[in-house]
Amino acid sequence: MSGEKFRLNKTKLDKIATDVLRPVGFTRGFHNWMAFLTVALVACLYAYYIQFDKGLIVTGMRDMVSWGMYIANFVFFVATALVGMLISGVCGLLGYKWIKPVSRIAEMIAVSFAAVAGLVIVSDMGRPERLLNVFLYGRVQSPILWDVTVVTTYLVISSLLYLLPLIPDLAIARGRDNKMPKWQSMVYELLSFKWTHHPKQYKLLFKSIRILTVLVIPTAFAIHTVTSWLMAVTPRAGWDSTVFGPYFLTGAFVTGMAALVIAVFVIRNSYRLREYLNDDVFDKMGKLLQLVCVVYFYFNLNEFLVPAYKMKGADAIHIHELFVGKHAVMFWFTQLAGLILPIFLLLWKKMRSPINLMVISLFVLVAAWFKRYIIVIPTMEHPFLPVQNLPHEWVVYQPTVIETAVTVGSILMAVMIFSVLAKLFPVIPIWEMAEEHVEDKENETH
Amino acid sequence: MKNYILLIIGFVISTGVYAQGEWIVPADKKGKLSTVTFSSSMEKLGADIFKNNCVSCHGTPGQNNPIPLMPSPGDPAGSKFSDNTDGELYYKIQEGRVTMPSFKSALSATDTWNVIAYIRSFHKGYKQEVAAKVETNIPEGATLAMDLSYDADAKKVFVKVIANNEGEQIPVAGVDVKIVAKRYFGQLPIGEPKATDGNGIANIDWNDELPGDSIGNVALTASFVDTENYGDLTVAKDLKIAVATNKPALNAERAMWNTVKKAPLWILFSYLGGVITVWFFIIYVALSLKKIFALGKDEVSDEEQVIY
Repeated sequence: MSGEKFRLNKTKLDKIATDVLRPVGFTRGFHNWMAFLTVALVACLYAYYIQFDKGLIVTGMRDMVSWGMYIANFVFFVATALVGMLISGVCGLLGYKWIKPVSRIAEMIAVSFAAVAGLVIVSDMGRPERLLNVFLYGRVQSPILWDVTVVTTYLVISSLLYLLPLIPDLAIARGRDNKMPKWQSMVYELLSFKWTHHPKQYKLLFKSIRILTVLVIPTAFAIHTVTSWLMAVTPRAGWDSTVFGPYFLTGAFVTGMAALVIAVFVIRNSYRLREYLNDDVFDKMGKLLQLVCVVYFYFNLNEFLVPAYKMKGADAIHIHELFVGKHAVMFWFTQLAGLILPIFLLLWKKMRSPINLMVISLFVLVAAWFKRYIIVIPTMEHPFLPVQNLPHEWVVYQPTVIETAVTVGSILMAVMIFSVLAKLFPVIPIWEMAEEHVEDKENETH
Repeated sequence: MKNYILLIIGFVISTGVYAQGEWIVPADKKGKLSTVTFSSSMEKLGADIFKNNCVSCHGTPGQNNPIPLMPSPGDPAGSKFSDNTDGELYYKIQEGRVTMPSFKSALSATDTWNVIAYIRSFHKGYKQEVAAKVETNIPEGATLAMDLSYDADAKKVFVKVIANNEGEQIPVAGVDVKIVAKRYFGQLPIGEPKATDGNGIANIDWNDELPGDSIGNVALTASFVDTENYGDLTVAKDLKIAVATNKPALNAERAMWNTVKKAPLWILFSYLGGVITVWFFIIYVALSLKKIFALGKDEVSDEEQVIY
């Protein structure tokens, strides 16, 4: 940034800090909310205990459909987590200014969903106590190992991308609020890394964030491409596709954007931060959501229309099941409510208003979850080898109550992590909002 | 479940077999009989097979609880079943029709007869008829023996079948035998089955250009075609009659399917290269955090103040 000097406007900073720090702290309402989530989570954990005790037989998965709701849910979690890369990485590097107030919320989603994604995979394991064997005896030839590697790496990078821009804010908060409980101010002190707003500190911080925003893009591409390869490296109908990597990635942008809109909407209203998370931000988010929807639609077109035109043997059965068969209702719901309708509706500015955009995003997010179900399960129901005399429950997958409870539990966990982060730390980057670049005339004259 | 049944019903109706009435078994199959008398051990074996393959549709025999398909699968203890001859039951199990799958490839002849023995145990007043012995020159009570040999000049594999009747060796004529060679996965049938001649010998053409193991050995197994009548007798021999092939084992070299130590180098380098690169920068950022922490001790001069 030669010729330009980085400055924080004190009056501006004061106002933003007052507004943003006001909702921070574990209030009574937050306690009630967490108590509710905890009770629900305990019920779900009990369901997992039953599964751990009795094995995967308590799920709907059998010999034929050995990947069920858990894997679909895993793909959904990874997809949602990718919003961190879209906002901080892609939009950040493109220099979009409107992302500033929502960038931290995007990273919060990334951290909470990436953290739980690893657990979701463990829930799909019949013998979770053997998890360590993946690292001890993992084969680099297997996409499973790549997946474990990239999920872990992405979680670390996302956490750093969340933590780094938070450091100056924590220092600002420490200097202002004295009503904080002792443990909280200790956390703030620890994580503010003795921040003194030293220009050299800022320089290091900018450089680190820059490195991470570049690094997060290939890592996020890797995480979701590898997730798609878990399926696409098999020759099975519905998975055997060369566009599966970008198809998953663009799908992840849609899922992540929808999740971001919902999160921003909730925070805007419950924290009364309408001034920062304003209609203009929603308008921009709505446009971005529409853009990623269009791109994803393009990949859907390729993914379904090309095999549907050729109707090769096994593909034909698969396509038939999706278009008019057993999975048709779910398939058309995901395509219409989750993709085509939003594309059209978002053309109108009115539809990009906070409340309308939130409702559209809710549909998109729910459809996105079912879309993952559509990707994983129907293919498994149609093996290549001729089968006969199989018990009915092997052929037709039906998730059980226990399975559903464990899945709900994973969503609860992600919401809990998000809630704690949203109450423990400021949700809008204070210093970045107060940032000003002034022409450094002194430097130029020298 | 419900939807699935509806789907099947829809399928049945659409294929037009709903209206199809009786299940007609070809006349020559109707009279087929078991060569052995049903015993309680056969019934027990049959009960096991029934539990794994049949219960899901037919329910437990005698309890009249088949699943509600159209046409109904029926209770095997009922008259719908007992009215059949043994041959008809055998044919229907083996061939199947519409929703009743064919068990030809799932159940052997012996398995099928065991299931019939089990079903028959529910039919009151059933009297079994056993098939008459097939006409051969095998004396009653004789034990059979089989041998394998190779004639290099004629390029033929000989299978010799001998009946041993109280010390007397009688060549068995007119019985079909087949040979198979062991390969990586499963077995390779060699030629067509052949009948033994008057000397009890069946000769089967052998192609000596087939690949064998490192010293040219090939593992051959001979058996009867009609195991129902002649039994499961087999003879297996390693014969040095093929081309010696010294191909490295499939797991000898670096390959996608091998262990991590024998992974292809390109994948090893790509993976490790990616991981090391990314983590190098992550560690670099972590060290920057340390520097930030260290800078916290430095005084910030008024001139350097960022906040103004």
